[in-house]
Amino acid sequence: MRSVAVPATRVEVVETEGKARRAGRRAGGSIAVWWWAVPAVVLTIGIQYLSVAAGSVYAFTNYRGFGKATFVGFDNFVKIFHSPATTRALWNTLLLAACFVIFTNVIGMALALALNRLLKLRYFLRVLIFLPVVLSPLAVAYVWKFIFQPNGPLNGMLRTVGLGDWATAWLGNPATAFSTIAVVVVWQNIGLAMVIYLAGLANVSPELEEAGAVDGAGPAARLFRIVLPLLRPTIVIASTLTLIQGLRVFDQVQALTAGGPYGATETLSTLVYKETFVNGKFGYGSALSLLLTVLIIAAALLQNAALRSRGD
Amino acid sequence: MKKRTHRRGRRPAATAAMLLISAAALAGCQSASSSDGPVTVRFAVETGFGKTSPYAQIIDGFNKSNTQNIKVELTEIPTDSYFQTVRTMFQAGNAPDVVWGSPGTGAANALGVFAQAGQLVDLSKEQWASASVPDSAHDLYYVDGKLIGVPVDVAPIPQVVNATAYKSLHLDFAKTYDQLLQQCAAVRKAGRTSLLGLAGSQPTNTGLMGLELAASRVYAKDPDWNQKRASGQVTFAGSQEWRDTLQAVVDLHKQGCFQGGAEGGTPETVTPEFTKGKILGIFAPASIATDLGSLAPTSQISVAVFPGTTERDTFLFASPSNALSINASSKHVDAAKALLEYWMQPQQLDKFAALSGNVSLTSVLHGRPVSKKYAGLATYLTDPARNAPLPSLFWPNPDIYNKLGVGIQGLLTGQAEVDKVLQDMDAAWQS
Repeated sequence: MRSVAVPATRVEVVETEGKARRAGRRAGGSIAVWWWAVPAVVLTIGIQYLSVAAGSVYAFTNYRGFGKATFVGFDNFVKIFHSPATTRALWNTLLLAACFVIFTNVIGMALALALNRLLKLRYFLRVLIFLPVVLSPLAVAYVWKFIFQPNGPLNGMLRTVGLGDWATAWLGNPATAFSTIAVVVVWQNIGLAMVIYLAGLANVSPELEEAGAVDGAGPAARLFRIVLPLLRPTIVIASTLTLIQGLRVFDQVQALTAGGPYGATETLSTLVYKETFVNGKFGYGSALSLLLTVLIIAAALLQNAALRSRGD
Repeated sequence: MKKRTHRRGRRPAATAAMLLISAAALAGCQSASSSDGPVTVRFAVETGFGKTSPYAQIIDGFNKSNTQNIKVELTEIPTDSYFQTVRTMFQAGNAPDVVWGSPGTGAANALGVFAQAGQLVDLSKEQWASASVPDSAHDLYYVDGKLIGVPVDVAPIPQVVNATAYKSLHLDFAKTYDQLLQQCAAVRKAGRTSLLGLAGSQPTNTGLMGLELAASRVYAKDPDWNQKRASGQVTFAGSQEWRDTLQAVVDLHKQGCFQGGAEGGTPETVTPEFTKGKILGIFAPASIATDLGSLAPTSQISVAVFPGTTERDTFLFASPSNALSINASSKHVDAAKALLEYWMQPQQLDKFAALSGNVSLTSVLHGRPVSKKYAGLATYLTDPARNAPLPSLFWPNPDIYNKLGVGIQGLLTGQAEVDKVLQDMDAAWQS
């Protein structure tokens, strides 16, 4: 059989043309993909970012909700950093966010590990733990507010079991109000963290753990040497999401204490609400909002940088 | 082909129909806004607490009786967002024709803020309007010489008391502050929760208590204290009277006059104790007595003035704090004025007061007898020297009252000292 010799140069030309056509198709395809994205991008920029940017302009004015706004430069920011109430609110915001990130993630991860395999009731328990996440934060806060009342069920239970000395006005006592809010906020969001960690654990191959076990690694060693390193990307996502959520908690604080007693639980979010919508200081409120936004972005970026390994 | 021709024939017909409909709609709009046609006046008020709005009933009466083809439409906006919603509507240029609010600039729903921005109609040339403002409230209703609205009733701010509980303990309403302190111990000794109930978690309630204590200590002694503060002659922190007021809060707390855990108290926890007679009195507007009475059918819920340091300096705050104003951008100013003029008739004012649970403006303006349920306050209501509008309404911004309420929380929990609270109030006045 006689083979047909195709000149090498011809093959190269054909291949080159084919590559060019494929590249052209790919380029055309990617442009088409971008065209599909344009409406969403325009709407996102127009509705979210431009409106936020336009709102930020008011941070440099003394706007009071209507009429003309006068430009006051950085006066609002100077006031913010000279106000003890704002400094306290800033500290409370950071503390609440820290408590939220740590407890939500630690408990959420522990629950995810416990309910990942083996346990027969795990699906039922997962639903049970996740349920508070889908409830309205405001509604949940009002239920907890009832529980924490001075003559509410919690104090009633404490008195019944002979711990009446522990009974207190949980939300009215400055020593307990902050931690009480933290308990409510963490409780409601543990389920979300658990679900994120369960998704992460689904990617951890049981064979790796079994191999570790065969090599003599105990449960703790398997957790810290195998599971947690493999969960690193999930930890980054979960902790970043909870940090952002923790920094902007509003509903629960407003419903439980409205920042009281005497500012003990005031956060930047509740302060923004009061200054803007109660006191009508829209300029000052915008400055506080801008500060909160910058704080959230900076904290999220820092945390991301700290938790992300080079390979990620 | 025939089909196509048929379709083509439909298009001009459809276009003509659309034009006709549009023309008819435009004509309809024109007639609605013409002076001869029906006029719709939009009226905004905050939502009542689960009961039929008293405003709705007066409006119904007006809609049925007016001969000028005016129809008033009531919009109830939730209390929490009322002021913000109305403020946004004013900014957007679509505010209601008639708006409800508080006169002055010190309340969260202050109409004075709109007046300062030139958003309200000046009613000073309307005799029915200027005659409806009590002298004591002149500065609340006049901004730069312009009358910004009319009051619809007078809201006394006394103690709301469970008279049946008082009787069962053989107690009379205290006539002096010292008597009240003694009663605190007696009530506790009798196994009741406390003489006074306080929703300490709510600055509005602690603030109201602060003002009631300030009535005899500050404003009975110096009715012009607010004007002096505005001109800088006095300050909260420099005022012995205000220090005495806040010290009285501390004393009441120390003497066990409030329920346990008062600093975390809410209306939801205080109300049941009050209606059961375990708490004998609460700080609240008098109008709430009727509602509480319906929750306690076996108890007589009444009102009593909070005692001053002496009987002589006992003083009552009674505010014409429910006000109606007309939007300066309204296209129906005359129709809105017709509504308010109707409202200012004595029979409508009496009817409205009976519905709102407050005192009729006619009692304060013309000395007509107050309703039976306010008999205990009659001495104060009819004597201009013994009553005045709530002083916080005159303050330049709502944050001062908020600082008072929050500061009292701090006094109850031990987080704040009297002087610090007063300094915070001065700082809020300047801001």
